[in-house]
Amino acid sequence: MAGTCGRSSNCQSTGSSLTVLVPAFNEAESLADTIRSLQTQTVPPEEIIVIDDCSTDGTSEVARSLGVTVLRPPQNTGSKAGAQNFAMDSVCTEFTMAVDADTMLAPDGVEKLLAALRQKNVAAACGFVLPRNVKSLWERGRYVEYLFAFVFYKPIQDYYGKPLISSGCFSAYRTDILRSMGGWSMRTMAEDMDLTWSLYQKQYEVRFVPEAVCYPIEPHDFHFMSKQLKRWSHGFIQNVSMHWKGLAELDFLRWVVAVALWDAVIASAAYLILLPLLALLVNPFFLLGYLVDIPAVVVPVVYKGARRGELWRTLTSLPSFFVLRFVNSIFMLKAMWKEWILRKPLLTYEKGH
Amino acid sequence: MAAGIPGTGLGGIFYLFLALFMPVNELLAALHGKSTSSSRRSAAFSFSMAIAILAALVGHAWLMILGLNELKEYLDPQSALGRSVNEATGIVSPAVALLPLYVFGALLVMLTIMRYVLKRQKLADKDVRLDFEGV
Repeated sequence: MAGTCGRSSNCQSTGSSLTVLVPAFNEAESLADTIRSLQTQTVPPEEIIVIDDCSTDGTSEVARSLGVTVLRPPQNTGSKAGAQNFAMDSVCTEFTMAVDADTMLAPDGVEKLLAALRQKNVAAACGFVLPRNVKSLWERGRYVEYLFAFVFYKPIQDYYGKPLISSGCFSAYRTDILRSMGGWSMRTMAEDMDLTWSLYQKQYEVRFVPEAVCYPIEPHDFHFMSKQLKRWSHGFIQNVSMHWKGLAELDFLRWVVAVALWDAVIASAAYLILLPLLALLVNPFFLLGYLVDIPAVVVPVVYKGARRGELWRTLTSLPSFFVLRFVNSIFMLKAMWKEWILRKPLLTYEKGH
Repeated sequence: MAAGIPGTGLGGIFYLFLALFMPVNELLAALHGKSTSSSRRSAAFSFSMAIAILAALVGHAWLMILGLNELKEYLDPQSALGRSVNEATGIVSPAVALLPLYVFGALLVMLTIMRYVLKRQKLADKDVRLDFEGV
């Protein structure tokens, strides 16, 4: 992936030394908001490249109408990673950012994220993710899930030097390091996790910047949510399979992944199978096990919700989190079963909308 | 994406420990001249969050036990529900609450052993390569 870039006519010198890649497949509805939020950043990118992965809904036309560079591969690349890699030859700037086509950024998102990359050994930086819409049960569940993860888990991971994932919807990278890694690999369903863990194994640093906020559109119905959960759960299992030996060498990260794997598999099995069986066969009050950790979730979530002036939204969304968690457990167990026991890996990347 | 299931199982305990350890970590970092205002702020925030979570968990458990004990007072101990509540107050005990800690400890031990085995394997592979190269 040696750079053969020539500066396009859409390039503007803003001093950011940043190119933003926006992979898109049938994203005409949401793309304009994403592009506008990038163009109105406090530190605008020098170039925005939309990679139209053979859409059929006029995605290219929407992008061109807003004056950004549009690249269209000769055939569908099959995944977000493929689309982003297609554009890498066109990147001439010191930094590259990947933003999902349905993700808007806070006005200073780019500025905050780039600040973290000023340190030479920092290869990637990621921001705080919150759903743009919080209406349906699934969006509300995801809202609470993100509040919890980004207020409690991720700052701790960052403090100890190893954020678990540089989220694919909004991350920035040093272009030379990204190229040396071969861009985003298509070998798993979670290319962001794969890249992050690969960077760690090459002794690079990744930072989490909570002040850099983005707002993706999250799944609003079960159909969309199930495709995303399927991809994410298979992606996690695939990455553990691929990286486990390398992870064993990495301080702190091996513990984080081991605990996450335990939660994903054993805790899910306990949640879905053991507790109900104990309640049925031994004592119905074993069902209290579902309530035991409510405070652990409520405290950070309500704190952040109140700070954002969204206390009512947070409180009314809490029950949805527990539904989503239940569903998430099912997908995790299914993924583990298919990937490790049946040896039927998920190979088709489906966004689901 | 969010890996694992936030809020369940060992993840919560693991991160609580990490957050509670942060002031110690900052002290050690300060002794080596590596503590920064940013790391201190981060440690203070996560530590405070962990204390608040712990307090809420203890309060929640206390309320649950109180509720069960109150329920016991109103139920016939010979009835099915009365017996269930009686057994439940035995289940919801500090020993059971410590169960996740034992599991967590076992996981840490397993991981340490796995790491040791992998390291030995890596060294053995290196020796085989060196032998092959005639060194």
